[in-house]
Amino acid sequence: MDRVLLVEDLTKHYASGSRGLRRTRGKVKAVDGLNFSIERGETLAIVGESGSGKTTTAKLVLGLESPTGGRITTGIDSAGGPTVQAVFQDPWSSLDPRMRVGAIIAEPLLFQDSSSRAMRRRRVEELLDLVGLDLSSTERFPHQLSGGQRQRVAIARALASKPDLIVLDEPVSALDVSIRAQIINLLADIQDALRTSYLVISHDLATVRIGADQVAVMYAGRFVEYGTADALFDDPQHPYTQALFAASLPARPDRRRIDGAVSEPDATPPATSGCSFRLRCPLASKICETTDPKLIQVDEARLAACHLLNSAQ
Amino acid sequence: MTPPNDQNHAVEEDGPFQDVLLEIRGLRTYVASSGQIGRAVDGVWLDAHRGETLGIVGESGSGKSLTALSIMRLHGENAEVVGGQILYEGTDLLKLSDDQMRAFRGARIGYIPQDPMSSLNPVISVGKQIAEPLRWHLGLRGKEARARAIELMEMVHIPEAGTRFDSFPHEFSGGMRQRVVGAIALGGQPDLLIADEPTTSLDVTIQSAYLKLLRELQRKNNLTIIFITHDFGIVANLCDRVAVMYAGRVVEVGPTDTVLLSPAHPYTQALLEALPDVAERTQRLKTIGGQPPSIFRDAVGCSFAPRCKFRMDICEQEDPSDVALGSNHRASCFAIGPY
Repeated sequence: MDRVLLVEDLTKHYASGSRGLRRTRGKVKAVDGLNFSIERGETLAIVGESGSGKTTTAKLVLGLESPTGGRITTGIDSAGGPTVQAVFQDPWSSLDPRMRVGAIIAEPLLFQDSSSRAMRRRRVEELLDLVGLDLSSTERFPHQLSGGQRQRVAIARALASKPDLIVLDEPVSALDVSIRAQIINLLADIQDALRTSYLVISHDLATVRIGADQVAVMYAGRFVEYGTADALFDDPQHPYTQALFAASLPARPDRRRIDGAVSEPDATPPATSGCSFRLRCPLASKICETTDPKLIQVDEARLAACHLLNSAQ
Repeated sequence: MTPPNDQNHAVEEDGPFQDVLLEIRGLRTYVASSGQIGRAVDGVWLDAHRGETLGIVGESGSGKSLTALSIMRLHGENAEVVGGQILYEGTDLLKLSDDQMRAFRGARIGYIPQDPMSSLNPVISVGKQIAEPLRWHLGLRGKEARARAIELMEMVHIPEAGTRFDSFPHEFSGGMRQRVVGAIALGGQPDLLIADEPTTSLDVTIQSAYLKLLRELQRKNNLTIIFITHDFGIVANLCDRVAVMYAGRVVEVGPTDTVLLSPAHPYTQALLEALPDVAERTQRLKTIGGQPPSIFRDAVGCSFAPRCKFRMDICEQEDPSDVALGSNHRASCFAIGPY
């Protein structure tokens, strides 16, 4: 297997509760010991609520934040940078409004030694074709494009330097249903053609279901369940994964549900001792108060961090 | 611009027991932008029945939010209602004076906007913001208003309501802020609540709890709810009936189960086919080619025709009329009805 990303013991702590300028009271463990990897052509999706640390994880992988501890190993491109690119949620704010589409897509190529102007122009045309945009788009400004077209430009820009891995942070959340399907299909086509790997950050389980090979469910800075997409979607094991799935509403009246078994995160912050999910967990018992569950293999398809699953073994 | 023929729209066939609270009849709200007139709401016909949750679903630019704002008469200065009626228990809201409308808002119709942060005043405590409309609508003052505001905070399940009365919006999380907005909307004890995508910026678990709360409040207060959304998951789980909007019109309306399980309009069909499903692993989604039309288009023919796989010649020449498809289910499309 050909690994494009290896993350080992990754942590990111922020100072919190600062009082004036003098001192800080404690730290928030936004990311608290993550281990994962992504193979070539594979998609890993990290899902969780806001505040779970999924966006911080994406920023760390992209090098936009530096880790407090741990290691991130990626491939290195000809310019000496990591072969990781990004597509963000909001195509209205991620593209420079004063640059034309052609220049936006060509910009990453400027940092590659061997590129001449003619080569760059050819590459931009190739990329526009790949993402389904007209060649005439090169002369346009972002505001002259629709939301879906702008997201196509962002994808073309990400692909320009031929990255091994693209971090997709809520890539379709801001798009309308009919446009969302077009972009999801485009990402699948690109992966088939170029064997690009994706790290998808999303709160939308239905969207993740389409393309993910592996899924990690994140809570309070850690993975609580991590395994194959089929295993997690068909048979979620961790109580938090089950709660997330129960809260996502299928567009099918024959599977109607509004499930309120789990208290909402606002009302109940993660516990600071024992299992971080225990205060919201309907199944919490004595051991959950005292002992922090480790992320361990619970069956051949997944890891999970829950005492209930350990004792069942 | 000649308005299309309104006589095409049959009055909804309501059963004898359905009590209509709000009737929207041929509503047109046009917007002005850089010297052009856009037909953003272009002839909406829709009823809300007492005690039901009616979903209005559509993509951006379909006119769903502007329809809601038109009902509230909060559509702003660059939009104008140019035609139609909005009958609330028979009273045409469009004919009320500004003062009469101000009394109507809050007391008869509550409104929950999309973004709870921008609809709350950051420098006034949440308790005072909940108490203020109580003075307007119920004449409550001082301790009475405070006590009632705390009751409302408890009703929307804000923990420790008594002590959080004096908190400010920034001290609340997104979900709790949206509950505050809900408490404000319900303060005047309205019969109708219009919620415009109130859970769009919330996490799924918070959304789920909020929708459960809305349903509980509805039962307790016999509310009629109009829920504006782009999310068919919410429609399936919350709404009794659903209206699908496209290019400023309702193209299909009916009981939720009927519309979602046997959609009649090609647009509804295409939208539902484009949705990913949590329960099924698929490699590719079906897509709808093209883009929704501009509101500045020439209004000739069916607005969905350019993207429709059932398009016929007539679709590009005439406006489709509503076709009744059974009790309370109608869609406007030449391909499905007698023609």
